Parts: sequence; C-alpha cells; structure tokens
Amino acid sequence: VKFKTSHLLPLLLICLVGAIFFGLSNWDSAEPNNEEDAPVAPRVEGAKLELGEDYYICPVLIETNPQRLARSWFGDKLESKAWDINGTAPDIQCNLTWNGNVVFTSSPKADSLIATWSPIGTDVANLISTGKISLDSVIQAATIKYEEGGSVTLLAWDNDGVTKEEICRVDIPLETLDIGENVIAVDDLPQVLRIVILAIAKVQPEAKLIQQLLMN
Amino acid sequence: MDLPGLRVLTLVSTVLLGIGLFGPCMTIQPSFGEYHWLVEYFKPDTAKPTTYSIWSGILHLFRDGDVLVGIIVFVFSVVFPVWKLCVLWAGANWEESKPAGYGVLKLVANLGKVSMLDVFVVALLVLAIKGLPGGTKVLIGWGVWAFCGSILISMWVSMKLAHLYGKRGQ
Repeated sequence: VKFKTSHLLPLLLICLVGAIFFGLSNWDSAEPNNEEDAPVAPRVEGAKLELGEDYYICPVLIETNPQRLARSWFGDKLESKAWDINGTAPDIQCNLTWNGNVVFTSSPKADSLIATWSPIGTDVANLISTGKISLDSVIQAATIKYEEGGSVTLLAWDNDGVTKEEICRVDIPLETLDIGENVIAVDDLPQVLRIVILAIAKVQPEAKLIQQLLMN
Repeated sequence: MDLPGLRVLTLVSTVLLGIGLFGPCMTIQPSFGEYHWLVEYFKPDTAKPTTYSIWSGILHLFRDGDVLVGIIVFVFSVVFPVWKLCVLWAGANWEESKPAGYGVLKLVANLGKVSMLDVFVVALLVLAIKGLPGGTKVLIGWGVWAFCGSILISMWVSMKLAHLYGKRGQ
C-alpha cells in the first residue's frame, strides 16, 4: 500500500480540534469567577448587628466563682458556700429570653466551674430516628431579630436535679453585641467571672456560616 | 453514495471524533447524602462536579497508575479510530478500481465491529442509570454523542467503501 502524507489529514484535523478545545478550556479558566468574587454583605467578626436582620445568639461560656453566695441561716448576710453539698461544682444550665419568651435552653454542664457550649452539634437520637441531618438542625442557638432597643436576657442556674439555684440573670442589649464572640461585663454579677455570647448573622452563604460556627 | 460523498462523510466523522475525544464526555456530580454540606465545607474540591473528556480520562488513568487500562482505552478509543479514519480517507481518494489497499479497507470494515463503542456506551449507561452511593450522579456530556456519531458514520463509510471497491473489482 502506497503511503501518502495526505492520508494523515484525519489525524491533523483531530489534532486541530484538540488544540481548539485546549485553547477554549484555558480561555474559560482565565475568566474571573464572578460568583466567588462577589462582595458579601458585612458579616465579619467585630461588625455591629444590623437593624432588621436575623441572628443566631448563643452562650458559649459561663465561668462561675469557686463558691456561691448564699444568705446565712441567721440573718440576711451573704456568705460564701460550696456550690453543692457533696463539694462538687455546679451543674450549669442557661437559657435566653427574647421578647418575653424563652428562645433557647442550653444543655446542663455537670460539675463545671467553666461551662462551655458549642454552637453546633448533632442530636444523634434524632438523626437515627429521622435519618436526616440539616444545617438548621445542628445549630444550637437562639434565632432572634435585631430591632431598635431589643435585648436578650441570659439566665443561668445550677441544675442539681431537685432545685434550680439562680447563678445570674443579665439583660444584654443587642446594640452592645458585635458579630462573633462578645465578652459580657460581669461587674454586677457576684457569682460569675466570665460570660461569652456568640452572635452570628443568620442570612449568609452556608459555607461562611459553618465556618463562623465552627471557628467560635 | 459516490466517492466525493464518502470523502465528505469521512471528514465529518473526523471532526466528530475530535469533538468526541476532547469534548465533555461525562460529568460526575458528587453527593454525600445528608452530609453533603459538611463535605462541601471541609473538602470543597471533593464536592465539586468534575467533567471528563475521553482524552482527559485517559490522562487520569495514566496519572493514577492504571497504565494497562489506560493503554487499552487509548488504543481502542484513539489510535484505532484515528487509524481507521486515515485508511478511509485514503480509500475515498484512491483512483484505481481495485487498489492495493483494498485488503486493509476490508480489514477496517471488519474491525469496526470490535471497536470500543459498544463497551463504552454500555459502561456509561450503567453508570448513568444505576448512579452511585450517596446520590452521586454521572451525567453524560455531548462529547459522547459526537464520539458515537463519528464511530457510526465511519462504520457506514468503511462498509460502503469495501462494497464499492468490491463491486469495481469484480
């Protein structure tokens, strides 16, 4: 069979098509991704809450004094006492009240002087029964709307199973909160050393929301 | 159909083969079920859809160390179809009534039956229909249709040419 270079025309054509595809794909990847580069509304840490926006609010840390303050048996004098009769630390639990309603109740933290809560967690029992998991279902926080003059009330107590002894009750004006972690002033709260509240914008890209929830 | 018509069809088949080899053949859309958002956060690249052409698929096979499979796919999906088209192009341009290359042409017409097309299409269909665990989907791209079109046209052209030269030689 006589071989002629013209017989290789199909090979050349295919190479040409390949080169065109290669050029086009490189041209495509050079285009900026507008979706990724789009500016995101100010949701950064440290920014103030915006009026009319929804936020996730949750307590992430409460540290109590090593001893509680209680009235003495004889008289009204306050004196330091152990948190529990058996000498164990308090079982700290707290809730958040917004517009007169309890909107979040934390899990109790047994025998803790420093109780911490994660804003994200999975209810395994629920997961097993429903077989489903969604972002909303794993966020352990109150959802509130920031309105002029709005506030949330944090109530913490020692949950010893029989009685609930109040540790602190603090009214937190929403205007004082920033996005991210907020250390609440505890000067007027004799039984508490530290309170940290987390505030995160509810409406934002899911990936950024997860990042903020996990980083705090 | 006469020789000029077969030449045009061979060129069409060639262009379609080029498109089929380098165009999008399949897109894998990973899904991790209810945990997809979590994977999307921790491993965003894993959760992104990936599009492969036959060519990029072969390169991936070589890169991942599946050299033998890569060679088989390369030979049957690239080398053989391209060689076949070169023979068909030559056959559509012969001037003799029964050229010396007639035997090769007949061989091409017969070998067309064992091209990778059948295996390729069936494998893709199984993937596309059955899906993968966690809801991962395989979407067939238009490159597959170009590839199939090229193979089918070239099979038809090879049969026609073999038939044409066979008749001329009698």
